[in-house]
Formats: sequence, structure tokens, C-alpha cells
Amino acid sequence: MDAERLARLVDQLAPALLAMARVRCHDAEDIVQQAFVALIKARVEPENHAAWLFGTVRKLALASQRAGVRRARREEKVARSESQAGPDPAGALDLERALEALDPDDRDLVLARTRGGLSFEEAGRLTGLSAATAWRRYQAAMELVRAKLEGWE
Amino acid sequence: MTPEEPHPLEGRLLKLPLPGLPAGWRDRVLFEAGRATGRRGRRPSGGLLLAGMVAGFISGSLLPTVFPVPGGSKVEGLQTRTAPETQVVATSPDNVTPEDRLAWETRRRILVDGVESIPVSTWVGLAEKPVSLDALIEEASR
Repeated sequence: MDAERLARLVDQLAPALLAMARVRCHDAEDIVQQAFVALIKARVEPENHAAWLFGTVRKLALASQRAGVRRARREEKVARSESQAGPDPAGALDLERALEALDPDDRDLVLARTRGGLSFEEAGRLTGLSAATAWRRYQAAMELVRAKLEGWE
Repeated sequence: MTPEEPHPLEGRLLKLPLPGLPAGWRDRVLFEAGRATGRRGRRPSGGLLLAGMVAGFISGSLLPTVFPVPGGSKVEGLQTRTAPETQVVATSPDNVTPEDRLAWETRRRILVDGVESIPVSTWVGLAEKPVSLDALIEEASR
């Protein structure tokens, strides 16, 4: 994989991967970086880079979470707002806020599907679900998101 | 609705922004990725191995001989004042602790393989073995 392609992948997927990892652990940036480095070091490229990256980041984030290293969400948000690039007006609705009511596994499904373009089979594999079950959970999660968006307006 | 049909909300979610990347993070990832690619497949050379062994030998054995510290030196006096209870204990293979072995093995790996052999992300704690980068690479290569 050449540098240009990697840069495109970082630009395209890193925000969603960071959002996925952040909900579980406070070292999201390290985890996502580790996943990209592992991808470029791989002898054989995975067929679907997005699916591999989402799966790897989820796995690393869960390992980190299980190790018992977590921070209060408020603390994370403060740190994030301090280190963020780009404008994020107070009170503006972003995808992370829209998804915050979801179960973490459902969040992963929605992020992987909407931002990674994963099929339901690939997204289901992330969370150990069949494609059909992943689709049903996705539908239910989207209804919760819809309610959240309507409440915001 | 079927799995093939896009959910009506998908287009709207796509338009919602996600928090931007932390400052400098993108460059750091690309730099680390480039560095990792540069090092892929590199094997420690015999020269590096020899240099490591020589460095270890010199620091462990020769320095006290080449630069002996006189009995009443200021350095020794300072050490005596700050840590009077310290005693030199001869180490035999029987009383080498697992921590000693780990420290020794880590130093040896750094000398032979370079600093990239230092374990990464040890902050996750000792309760669970961290997922290794090599394992991820293996998985990606399948």
C-alpha cells in the first residue's frame, strides 16, 4: 500500500474509528494508530481495509476496556474538546452525540455501516452476529437515533 | 425494508460531522506507518549484534576496571548517605527473579533488535496480556 492510499484511508476512516474506540477506552488515538501501522506492515493486504480496521480497532478497544482502564465520559469529552482540530460549535449535533444513547455494540454497527460502508455480514462479524441479526439490530438502533435527532430539533 | 435497501436515515447520518482528528495525530500516524514500512523485513545485522554484545561487555565488566572509583570518593560517600541500607548481594541463578529475567530479556532485545522491540502500550496494565502488534499483522496477512 502506498502512502497516498494510506493517507486517504486515514482521512476517510480515522474519525469513525476514533469515535468507536473512544466510547470504550481513553487511549483511542494509540489504538487507531496501532491498527493503521499493523495494516501497512501486513505482508498480504486484507480484502476489505475498512472491515479489517473496524474489526481490529474494536478488538483493541475491548482489550483495553477489559483491562480496566477507563475514564469518566465527561473527562474524555473535556480532553477531546481540548485536542480537537477544526470548529465544533458548542451545542452542535455531531454523529457521536447522535449515537451516544446506543449500546456500544450497536454504535459499532452503525459506525461501521454508515462510515465504513461495511455490509451487514461484515458488520455482524464485528460483534459476533449473523448478517440477519446485525440488520435487525441496526434497524432498531436507527430508530433510537431517529428519536434522538427529532428530540434535538 | 430489506438489508439491501439503505436506511432512510443513513444519508442524514453521513452528513453529521464527527469530531476532527487531534492536532498532529494524522501526521504521526503516517510517519509511524512509513517508519514501520521502512523497517519491514529488516533483520539485525551481525555488526549490530556484535556492537550490542561489546557494549554490554564494556559497561558490565570493563568500566569499573578502566575507571576505578577510589574507596573514599565523593560518589561513594553520596551513595552511602542516600541509601545506607543497600547491600551488595551476589546473584546466583537460583535467586534471579522473573522481573530480573524480564528486564534482562528486554535489554537484550533492545540491543539486538533496536528500540522498536520495546513492548507497546503497556499502560493497559498487567491483568491482561495486551494484543500484540505482531498478532494483528499476522491476522491482517491471512
